[in-house]
Amino acid sequence: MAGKSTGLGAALWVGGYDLGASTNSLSRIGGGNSPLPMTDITQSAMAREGGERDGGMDIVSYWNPDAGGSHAAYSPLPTADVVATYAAYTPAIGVPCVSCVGKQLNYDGARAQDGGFLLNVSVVANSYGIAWGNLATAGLRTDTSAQAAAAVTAYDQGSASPGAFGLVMFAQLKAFTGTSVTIKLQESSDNGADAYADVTGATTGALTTAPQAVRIATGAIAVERYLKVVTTGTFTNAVFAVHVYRHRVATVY
Amino acid sequence: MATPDIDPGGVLTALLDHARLLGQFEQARITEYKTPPPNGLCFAVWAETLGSAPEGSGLASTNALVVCMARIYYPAFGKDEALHEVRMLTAAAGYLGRLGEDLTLAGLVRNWDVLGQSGELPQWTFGHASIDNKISRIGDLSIRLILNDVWAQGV
Repeated sequence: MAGKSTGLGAALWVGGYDLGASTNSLSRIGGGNSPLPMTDITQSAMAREGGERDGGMDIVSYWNPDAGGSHAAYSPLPTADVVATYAAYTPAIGVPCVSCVGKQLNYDGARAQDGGFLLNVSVVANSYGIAWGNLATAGLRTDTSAQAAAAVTAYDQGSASPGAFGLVMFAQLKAFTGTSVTIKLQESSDNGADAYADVTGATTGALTTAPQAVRIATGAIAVERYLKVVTTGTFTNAVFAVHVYRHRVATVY
Repeated sequence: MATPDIDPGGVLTALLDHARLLGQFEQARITEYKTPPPNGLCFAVWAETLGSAPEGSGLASTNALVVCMARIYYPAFGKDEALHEVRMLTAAAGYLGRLGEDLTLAGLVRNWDVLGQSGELPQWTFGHASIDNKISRIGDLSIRLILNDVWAQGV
């Protein structure tokens, strides 16, 4: 049944950690700009110009001290940026998702009298606000060797390039065994006769450790309709998810 | 008037198929047993209520809430009642597990209410029922199905 949908079966990845099962709820996934009032004396109604872009996520986490669980992800309280990606419902190729590069402000626990122990985590954006997009992998994908385009299912963006506005991709690498893995996007205009070729700039470069997450932005290039996530490098196991957003208008950060 | 976007046969069949594919029931069917079910673990599913679901409705259309009853039967006086109890619980848990992996019944409904958003949690309630003076151990599960925009609102 298309149409209105629930948020059941969602996923949350933070810095490469798969935290969906350790997450109670997300009380806010916000973004947008703070408009600046620019009303002059000739105007009878407020005038505003677009201001700074901002965003963030407020996460309520369960207490999960397992290896690879939420405690391992949040407790370091890093001063460097973290990348959080939320898939809006059961992850599949094309499912809407939202990512935020930002500072993790806190990991504040509240132990209630009923025995519950929930922890609040806020991520506030750094530099890029918040970015909605779509999954280009069916949730976390497992590659046991480098995968070329022929072995990968395409993500159909539904339309030809809207113009040379580029794209942004977020890669969440959950697990990795090997020398290195490079996750990159290839494009085709028709998913057929037009052979898949690298999207210029849409590559993570060689990743050698997991868990980790990265944000990659291309230059202002036209991106074709069909995208495939391919991997190169020498490895026996790579578990990762990729969020892609092709800009519809020229976007400056 | 638009045809309501609801497929009752498909919904009941989907609920039945999950029981069949579980592979633990001797017999599974749509509609309640009016005569004693055969020996062994049996399953039946039927509709119980159909109405509006205001919390998910839009400004110009009404969502539907269909409540289906799933029931597991087991003869109450078998050789090994403890084993029957375990098999019944296993089947009940397995059925919820299968439903949990098919939240939309393959797209027939917006979702079945796995976490109680429409007010009641899905839970098996166990008890006994007498059919033709034959007592069965039974388990009942209300499956609440929410369907998008089934009826239009107009004047």
